[in-house]
Amino acid sequence: MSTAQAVSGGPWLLRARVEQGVSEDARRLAELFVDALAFRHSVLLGERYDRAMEALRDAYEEALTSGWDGYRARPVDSFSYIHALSFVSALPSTVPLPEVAVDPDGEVEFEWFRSPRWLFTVSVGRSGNLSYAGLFGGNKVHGVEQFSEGLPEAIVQNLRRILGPQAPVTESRAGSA
Amino acid sequence: MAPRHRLPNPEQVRPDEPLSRYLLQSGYFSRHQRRIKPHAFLPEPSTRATSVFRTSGLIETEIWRIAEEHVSGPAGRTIHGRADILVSQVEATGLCVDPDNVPERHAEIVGWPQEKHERLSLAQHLAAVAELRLRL
Repeated sequence: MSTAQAVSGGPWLLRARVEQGVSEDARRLAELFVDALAFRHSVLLGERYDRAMEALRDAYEEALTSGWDGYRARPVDSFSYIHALSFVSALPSTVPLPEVAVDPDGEVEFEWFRSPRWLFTVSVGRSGNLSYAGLFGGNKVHGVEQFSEGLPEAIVQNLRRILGPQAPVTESRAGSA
Repeated sequence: MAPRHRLPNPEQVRPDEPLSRYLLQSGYFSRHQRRIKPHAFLPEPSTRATSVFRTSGLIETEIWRIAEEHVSGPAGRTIHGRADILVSQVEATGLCVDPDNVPERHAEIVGWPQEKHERLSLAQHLAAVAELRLRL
């Protein structure tokens, strides 16, 4: 898939919704969308961008309706989606692309997984706040940061931790409490 | 109907009781990595609770039958698998299991904190200790 195709086939659904909307929310969403698209050109290029867009699009489409998880999950939040687009675009090219999902509360979530006890998760809120949690063997971290220009230092530090040489590639589940 | 025999105490859970969280969303687990993803345990936003069933005393076919009768059937969905976890493992995180028994054997994991990052952290712990059982 080319970049052009990814753009036209990625947030196209959202763009159509925005164009139809007349509310303040819709106007704000359109602004965020334009910002996100402009931002991605400066950082993410080529195949990596296509893969990121495709994963985001798949997650978005799977969670469009209430109860998409078979229980009572909220539909994916469009504001969260747009901020998620900016977030993934802000990742340095040296950082592996995370797994993408939607949480039951409608927020887009990114996860870097090394093992069940060594993983890092970032959930993108509708206002652009980043709720994060990490499990690093016997240690855990969690907190919230605002995402505006560039990745917050706390996110960068935890990405270093999850991707660093001390992180196990595999881990036995034996002995898990 | 789900088996009515060997019912657990409807009002009180035991620490060694197994619970099953049925998985209807393929993104809630990884077949390749053989693992449950943390967000499979995150609570429903409207109730702030995670729906589970108490499966003590049941054999495999009975555990899956509950899923079909009360979860996948009513939702019109396919059941992909389930996450099995003990009450003691849930309670070790500070969360609680509320046996509402509606429908029979149903319970909810409750006590989730207000902040999203705290919920994520707890869900990571639950996913790390839960066992993935795939529907064959």
